[in-house]
Amino acid sequence: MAKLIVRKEKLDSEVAYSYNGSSYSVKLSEATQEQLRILDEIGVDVFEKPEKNDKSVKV
Amino acid sequence: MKKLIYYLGVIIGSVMLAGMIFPELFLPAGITGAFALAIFTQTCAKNVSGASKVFIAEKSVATAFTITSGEISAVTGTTPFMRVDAMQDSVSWQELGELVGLNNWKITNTVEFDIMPPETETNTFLQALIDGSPCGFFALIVDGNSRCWVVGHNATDIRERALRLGGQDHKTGKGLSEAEGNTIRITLTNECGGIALPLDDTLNAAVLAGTSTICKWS
Repeated sequence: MAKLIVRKEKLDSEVAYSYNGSSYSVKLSEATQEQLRILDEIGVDVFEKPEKNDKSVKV
Repeated sequence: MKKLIYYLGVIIGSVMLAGMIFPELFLPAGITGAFALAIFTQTCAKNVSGASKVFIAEKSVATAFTITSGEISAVTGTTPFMRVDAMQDSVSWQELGELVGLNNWKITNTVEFDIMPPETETNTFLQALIDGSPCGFFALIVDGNSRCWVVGHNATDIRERALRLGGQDHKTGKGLSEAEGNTIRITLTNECGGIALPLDDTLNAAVLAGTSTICKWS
């Protein structure tokens, strides 16, 4: 699974979100990959877009 | 030896000075020193009372808020904030803070607006508010200074104390001389521990221009 990278200009931000019926707040500079995956799943738009010409092969 | 003491003094002095200027650098994670009392500078600008627009989002649809420097810079969700065509000069938002006991700070938000006329469409809107109230709402208020505020979310409770439908009041009135006859006053309210946050300038401008994707316009 590709590593999620927060865009530089968003590193100072924090995100308040609901997940599984509870509310959480996370500083993007301190977020774990697990937390970032939840944000990505919710649709929070703070991540670097993957390179279009990425030719890496997934094994 | 003297030089060593001199340089050590300079280093310690610099660190202390940095600590006084930027206390956040020396605080453990999770504790913020950002709210130390500082000077408040008043902007020399016109101040306009009142609120002009209200938008309402269901908590389950506005799934996340991105906060940058104390302002909301993004809202996640599929056009979560629904435009509400409230009557002119009927929209108001009150954020009332009060001390409870010695140390607790409670803030009561009250968002009010009038809609009309009583019709099937107003019933549908009211029923949606009644049905959505148990989960809660966020309100986007455009105040008289053209500043947009999200009410129902705050940095203290995050998203746990959203707005609920506090009341609906419909009276026919007794005749033509009653201006408020046959209007429906809707009240959204909550009690929470933190102050509401404004939208950042970019998002604010997009809402004012009617182009923001966080609002459903039509």
